[in-house]
Amino acid sequence: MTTFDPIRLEVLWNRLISIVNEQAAALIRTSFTTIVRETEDLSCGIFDRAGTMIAQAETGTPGHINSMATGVKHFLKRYPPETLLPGDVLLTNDPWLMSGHKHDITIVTPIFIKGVLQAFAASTCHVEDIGGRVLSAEASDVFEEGLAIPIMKLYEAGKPNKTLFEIITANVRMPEPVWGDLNAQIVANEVSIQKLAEFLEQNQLDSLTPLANVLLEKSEQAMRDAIRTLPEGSYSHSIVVDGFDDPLTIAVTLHVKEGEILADYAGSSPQVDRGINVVLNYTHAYTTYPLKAALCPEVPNNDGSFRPIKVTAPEGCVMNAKFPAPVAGRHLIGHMAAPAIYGALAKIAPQLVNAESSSLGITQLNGYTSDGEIFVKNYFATGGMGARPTTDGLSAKSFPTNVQNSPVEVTENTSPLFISRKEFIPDSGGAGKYRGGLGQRFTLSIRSDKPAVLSCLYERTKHPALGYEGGKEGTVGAVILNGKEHLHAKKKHVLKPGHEVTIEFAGGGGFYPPEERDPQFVLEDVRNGFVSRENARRLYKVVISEDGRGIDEAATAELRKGKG
Amino acid sequence: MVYHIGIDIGGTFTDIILLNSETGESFRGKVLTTPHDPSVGAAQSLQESVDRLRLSYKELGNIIHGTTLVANALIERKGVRTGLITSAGFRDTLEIARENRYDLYDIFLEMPPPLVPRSRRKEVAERLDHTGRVLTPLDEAGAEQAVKELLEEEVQAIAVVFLHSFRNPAHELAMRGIITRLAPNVAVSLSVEVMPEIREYDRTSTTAANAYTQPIMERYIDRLIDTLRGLGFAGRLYVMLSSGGITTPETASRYPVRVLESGPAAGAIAAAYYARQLALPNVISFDMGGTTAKTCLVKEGKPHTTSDFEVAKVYRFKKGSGLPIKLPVIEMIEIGAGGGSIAHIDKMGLLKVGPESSGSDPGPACYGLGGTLPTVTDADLVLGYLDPNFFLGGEMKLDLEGARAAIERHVAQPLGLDLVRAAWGIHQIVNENMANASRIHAVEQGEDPKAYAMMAFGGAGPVHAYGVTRKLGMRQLICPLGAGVLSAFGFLVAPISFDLVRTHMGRIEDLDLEAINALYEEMERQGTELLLQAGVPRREVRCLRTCDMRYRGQGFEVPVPIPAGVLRQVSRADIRRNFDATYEKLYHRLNPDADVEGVSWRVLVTGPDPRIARPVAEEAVGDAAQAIKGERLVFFEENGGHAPCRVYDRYKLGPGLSFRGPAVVEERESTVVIGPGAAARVDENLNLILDLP
Repeated sequence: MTTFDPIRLEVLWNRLISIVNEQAAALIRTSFTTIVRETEDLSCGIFDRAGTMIAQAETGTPGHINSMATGVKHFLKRYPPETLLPGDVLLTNDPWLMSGHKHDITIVTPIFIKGVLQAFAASTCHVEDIGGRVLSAEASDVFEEGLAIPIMKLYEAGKPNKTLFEIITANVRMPEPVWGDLNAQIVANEVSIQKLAEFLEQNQLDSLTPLANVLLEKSEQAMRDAIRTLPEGSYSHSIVVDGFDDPLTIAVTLHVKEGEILADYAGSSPQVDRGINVVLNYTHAYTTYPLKAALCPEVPNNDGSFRPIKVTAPEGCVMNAKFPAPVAGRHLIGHMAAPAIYGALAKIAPQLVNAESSSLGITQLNGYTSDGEIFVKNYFATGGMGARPTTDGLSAKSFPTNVQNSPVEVTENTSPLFISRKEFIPDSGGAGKYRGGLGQRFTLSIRSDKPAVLSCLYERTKHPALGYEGGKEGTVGAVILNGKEHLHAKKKHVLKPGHEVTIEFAGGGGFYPPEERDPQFVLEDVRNGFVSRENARRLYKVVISEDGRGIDEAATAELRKGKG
Repeated sequence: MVYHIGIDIGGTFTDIILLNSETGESFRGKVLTTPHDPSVGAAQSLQESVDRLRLSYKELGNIIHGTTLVANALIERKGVRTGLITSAGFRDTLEIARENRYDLYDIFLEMPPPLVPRSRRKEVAERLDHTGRVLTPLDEAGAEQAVKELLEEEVQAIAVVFLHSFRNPAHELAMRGIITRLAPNVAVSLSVEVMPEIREYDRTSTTAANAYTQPIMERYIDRLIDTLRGLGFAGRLYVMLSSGGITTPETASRYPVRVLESGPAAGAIAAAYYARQLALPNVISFDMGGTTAKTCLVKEGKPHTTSDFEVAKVYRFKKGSGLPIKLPVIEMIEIGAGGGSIAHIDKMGLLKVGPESSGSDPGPACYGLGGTLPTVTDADLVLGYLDPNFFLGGEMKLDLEGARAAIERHVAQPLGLDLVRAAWGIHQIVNENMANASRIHAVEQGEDPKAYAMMAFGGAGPVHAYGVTRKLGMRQLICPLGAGVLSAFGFLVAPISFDLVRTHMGRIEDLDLEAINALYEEMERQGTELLLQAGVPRREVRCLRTCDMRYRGQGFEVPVPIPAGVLRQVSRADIRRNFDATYEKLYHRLNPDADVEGVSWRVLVTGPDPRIARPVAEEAVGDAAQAIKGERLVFFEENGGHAPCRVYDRYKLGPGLSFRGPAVVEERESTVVIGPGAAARVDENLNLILDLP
């Protein structure tokens, strides 16, 4: 293996990261949708000639980052290197090959430098629409979920595949933003091609491969070393989540041995006939992400850091659904791999993990404006993150995914959505020495004289985020029409003009028993309205004076002595 | 004889420059900053200079001023007790922020605590739609109640942020009326005045930061004016904006967030001034101090400005870990790489430098103040770039052995490298980090650094600039005289200017030109009035218009030049052409079928450039050889190790002299390192100009 001294290696690695970050910046700044540019539901990366992930941009969603990491190899199976030409642009939205639903389109551009195929630039973005029954969990198979694009060439040697262009345009509700974003992805890949060529030339490298091998090897080694800090053995945990109608079990066993972890999802519920099933590639993404975050967050996120982690799940279970299962809302269940894994890790290393978190919710509305124009809008929001063993959970922050919201003013300017409030929910964070992050609620209506379709994609409306080590659970979420009627959290509903729907997101779980919380923190929470006086007394055993400004020390001591 | 004065108050020192506008002579002074009341140090620096130069206060013209007061109040959380009033349902916007974690993998990260805790955030029933139409009128009784509750919380300042207020200020203005009626002594910041732009979290954050610092800034400015008047100063006082223009003390008192980055901005302005003087249109300024390095792109003689800025980042300078201040600021990239940055070995066994800094206490190991961890300054000392006996002109002795021991123990031994290689590694990695930051910064603006010249300043800038310049593949490096007080000089070269902005969305084809013309007329009238008050003759007022535009459906805009005068039907095509040119430069590909829309309409109203004469060399010699003050062993990679190297006295290098590297050129506040093969010459402005091999 070629050797690089540690200094040169650091320099070259930084350059690669800056190249992929430039790729992501170009994509975000030229995107046509709030889902990409405000929410940053995307990934960008560089892959070697064999399709092995070398470097990825620091963007928001492991669901894209880590599934793209394992997915680009499939492009090479379909189009071996000798069939690729400069100017080719490949794409697919195959859920089983990439990030688990058709709403993510991956674009892969081969990088030819001086006529030689050196690498691939790739990006995955959530498109505003892919036809079918919009983004919804209600389909009974994947065919209902929109246009399928097998791995194909969108451009061949620079020439557009016009047939494919026309098929895509004819199948989606809003072709302009869809094409705007696809073009943004192509532009971004071109940015990284240009930069990579300069990089190789400036550093007098004939090929990326020797450098890539060293980087991957080092990352792999760091991950193995981190795994070795855990006691060897097998650790199981299972959690129960809402599912579509009936609850689902997500079970995982971590087999820790010789610097490797095998995560096996045997014992998880069978796949269901609604669109919340998870493909193995996506399960893999949400297994490697939480493990890396807990064990060695600072190691570069590349293929090497995944090698010591193997992921298996029985075929046909909800974490490894078989084609043609419906999968559009796969994130609802897929994200729950993280709390299952942390539950298992907590048995041996609770200091490394956070308690259970809320769930990212996607609200999709489609219909017509008063002017008769068709619209589709995806709006993301989340609840509280689980408390950490050393500090409170973050309020209204998503975990394990990490997307942003779209500002209310931008949302109202770019769609007929109207948001009349968006606020924390008091008492929603799980009680604990360290409190879970607060959930939030927002209230939505439609500024159109025509009814719209509200597609709900929410989890944790029946099963709360649990606390760890004596910490309590957070509150659950809900979908409430006009302040009274509870709606199904994974179905489509009609939202009539003048009607209001309130979406509530769960709070995160607490860490350690609430009676151990510093009474000053409880007082501060009461003063800020994060915790009610009643809950301060009932859960935290802290008596707050009637004006809400002080602690009744004697009563608190009495209460804590009794229960603590 | 008129002296113009620049005063820059930093964390440690207050720098002053007096410039005789007739002879071009400049005089520098430095006093310790007086943190309890910075106006004391400012006055002291002025009094000392006046005494030293035997001037009378009548001879003083303008004082242009910059201060880190506002930035420090935000970084150290030492602002006033502040309340926030929002639209009903949105009091948590400030804390919900953008709902993301700024580091994907660190699940233990903390978000910056909001400047206004929830207990002091009150809601008032009112609502506008996205066009500014009133959906719910302002509930006056509820508004009074909210103010009363905040007064019970003993707030000294209140920020008001209503949704879509930038489309219709009526409710925010009415809210101010109610606050002033009930609490005349409470300072009020309205979002529509502080930052009338879309994106409620950014606007709330910016307005809250303004309210939080406004009473402090106002008191400070009042005291400074009183003190200056007390001394007999009869000229005008101006304050530098983060965007590089200058403004009146009244405006700075009302909108302190606009002057947040006044010091660094002045540095970039100075770099731009030198660039123009050198007829070098494209320059990357590189300002490296004790804890951070900043680089700024000067394009066509102007620094680039942006409205995407964060202050008080809580986590390793990481984007997203600070408080957004969405106001025009000279676009700089700042990284944790300075003389005090600490070198360490990470879990991968790789050498890393920074962002942790030893600061001034305990400081680098070589300061001998108790620091034991190796820093960039320690490496520079071991490599021979710094003279242990001539740091700060000899005022501070450096401990070479301390530096060697720290590097040996924490870098050389763990990596199995020899001491010098380890020191070189530290120097090289910090250079690479800075080169990388500069490269990204340039590329983000569609520029190739190779087409630029480097300009270095700040205490550590000229020490590292040679290496950074080489890494970027750039060919020319300029080191102006007096790198340590370059920011203060920047105050003296900036034109007085005001940046105004209004949001008005619409496609080019169906823009309401009458409304746009009215916006521009109002903004330009307002800006001109401000300039007239500041003593700029009407005929010298210039208005530069731009509009932040994008393809319809995009969310990020590019700044597009807008024609002057009344916009007519034909202007639509001009605007589209200007958009295409700007967009293509950035992203290479156009979407000819897509509509283009305008978002924020801006105008920069600016006065004339001040006339400033060039500096003169005080102790210039006739031949470069006469400027050599000695020789020492200095490390250069090209030489394969330490080799004897000439040391020049900067103050003896007059115009026209030239010599070749390797060389080290020393001045009081900094040292210029010149590698083998580089050609150095001194121009008529006493800049040291290096042509790299």
